[in-house]
Amino acid sequence: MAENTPLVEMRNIYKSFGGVHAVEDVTIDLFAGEVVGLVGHNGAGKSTLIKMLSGAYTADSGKIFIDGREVTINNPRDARKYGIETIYQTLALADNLDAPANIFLGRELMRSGYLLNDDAMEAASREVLDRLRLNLPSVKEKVVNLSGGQRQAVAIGRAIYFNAKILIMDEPTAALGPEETAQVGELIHQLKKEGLGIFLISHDLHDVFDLSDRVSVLKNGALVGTVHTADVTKDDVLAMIIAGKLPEVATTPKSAQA
Amino acid sequence: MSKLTTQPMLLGRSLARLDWRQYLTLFIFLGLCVVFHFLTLWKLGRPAFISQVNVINVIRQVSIVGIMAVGMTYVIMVAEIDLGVGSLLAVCGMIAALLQRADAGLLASILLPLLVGVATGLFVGLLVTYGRIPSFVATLGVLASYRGIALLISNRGQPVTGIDPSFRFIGAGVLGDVPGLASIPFIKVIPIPIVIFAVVIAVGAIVFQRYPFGRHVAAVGGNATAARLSGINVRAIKLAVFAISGICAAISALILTSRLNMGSPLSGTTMELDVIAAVVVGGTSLYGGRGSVLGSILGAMLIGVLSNGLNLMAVNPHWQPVVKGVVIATAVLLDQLGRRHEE
Repeated sequence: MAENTPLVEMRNIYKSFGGVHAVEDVTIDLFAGEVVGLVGHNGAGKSTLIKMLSGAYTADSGKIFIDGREVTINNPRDARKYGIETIYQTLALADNLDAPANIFLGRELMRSGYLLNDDAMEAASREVLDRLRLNLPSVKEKVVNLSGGQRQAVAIGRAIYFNAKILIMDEPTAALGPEETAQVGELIHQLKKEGLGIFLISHDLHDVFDLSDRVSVLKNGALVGTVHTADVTKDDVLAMIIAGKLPEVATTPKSAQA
Repeated sequence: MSKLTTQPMLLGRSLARLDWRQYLTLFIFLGLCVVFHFLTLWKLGRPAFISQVNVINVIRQVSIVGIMAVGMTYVIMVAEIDLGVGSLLAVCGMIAALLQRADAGLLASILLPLLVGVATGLFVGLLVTYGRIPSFVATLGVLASYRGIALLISNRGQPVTGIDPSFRFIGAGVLGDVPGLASIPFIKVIPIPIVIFAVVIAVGAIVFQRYPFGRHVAAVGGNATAARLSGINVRAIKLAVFAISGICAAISALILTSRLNMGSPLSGTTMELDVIAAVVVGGTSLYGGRGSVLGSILGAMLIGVLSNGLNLMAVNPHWQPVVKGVVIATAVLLDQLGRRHEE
């Protein structure tokens, strides 16, 4: 049963700003333990679409299902309630603080009700970063001194500590070198194994093709199609992005196959 | 990445862990104390610098600026600035003195200035957050207009006298005046301003280090966007830091008015610069996100000791601002160098 119920389903989503249709009748889904890439040119609508899942925007019409139940997401707090966490490439860490302070920022662990419990936050951080196979020389290091991959891990650690089921990663490797990109790849594998569903958003297909199980392509606010990366080549997907043309082996959303 | 960038990065890393700026300030502070001790000993033939009277005197003098430096640390931590504290101090002092002269009672003379301090801070905070006015400009407005208000509510610029002896306790009293403490040898000579100073430092430092609010202040200063995405109300934090700065200025105003036994409309002139200097010398970055309350106290003490030592040595008082300026410029230079190492 669980096999057939997507973790997330966004169905027939519409959103317009003024007279511009930013997202038009888009349906995508995401299963537990799966990575779905969301690609398209700048302005194709992928950011707008995903912001309706993270709670930054609300949809004009359409339905969102989490675990098969219809939900309303009006703000980021609602999204968090449903286990949806967003990882922003560089924006979401306070460089002057250490990993535990960042992981627990805004949701600090307390002792006796009103004092920070730094020991508990440090221990919990170490645990969660271990889960991500991240070995920091010291968790008390300010994150400004960490590598891009390590910083990404801290941001992910922040999400998974609070039991995220659905991760949205915006351009996760865009600013990283090859070595750090590989590190993030490993992190994503680890998270898949733990049963999380991950949306990867990128305007550059190369960033996400190898990491994704499926890719949903958007163009001019509409869905071109969703394909299994195993069935197609990068060139096929590029043709979808540029020409809006489906390859012959194109697949429908996984839920419709069952 | 390349070999070129690794070297300074490693250096920056070890330096950051040492937090060498604060140690440097501490060393300079202790060094100054030793130098002044021996210089005064040599020149005056007695330990004029490190003596009970002088140490108490220095700390009491520093307490006015030091209390405001605690508030200013919060403001500068979020990469804002408060230029209005000197003028605000004058207004709060005038209000206290006028209430005293009108026999409004001790409680009103204390509470109303504190209220004005908080309200002013909140008003500035609103201008900065909702009005989107840079704090430099908003508080420059306070600096100018509050000086005017202080002069307007005075009698043609004259100080306001007629303060009740009960009010004198705040600035001129000692712990020995408190029933039950009069007989304890060392305790009894500690001035009340120092006690208030100590309480403000303790509360300021504990909130800064141990409370979520302090951590959120640091986060807003480090990366306001990240703080907002983490669910921190950045506007509320900024409102709060200006309110804290305002109440600290009001506390200093009460001490100063009580100690001088009058409200002077010109008190606190250019004091905002002394306060900012103390914070910056204490290692708090004007760019926000890095600093500490205790560092600012150290900065205030360092500047206080400098003035005191130069006074004891009978150095031409016109040299004092020059020396102060050099110390502040050096502190900011060191801050810049440290920042470059970290990047």
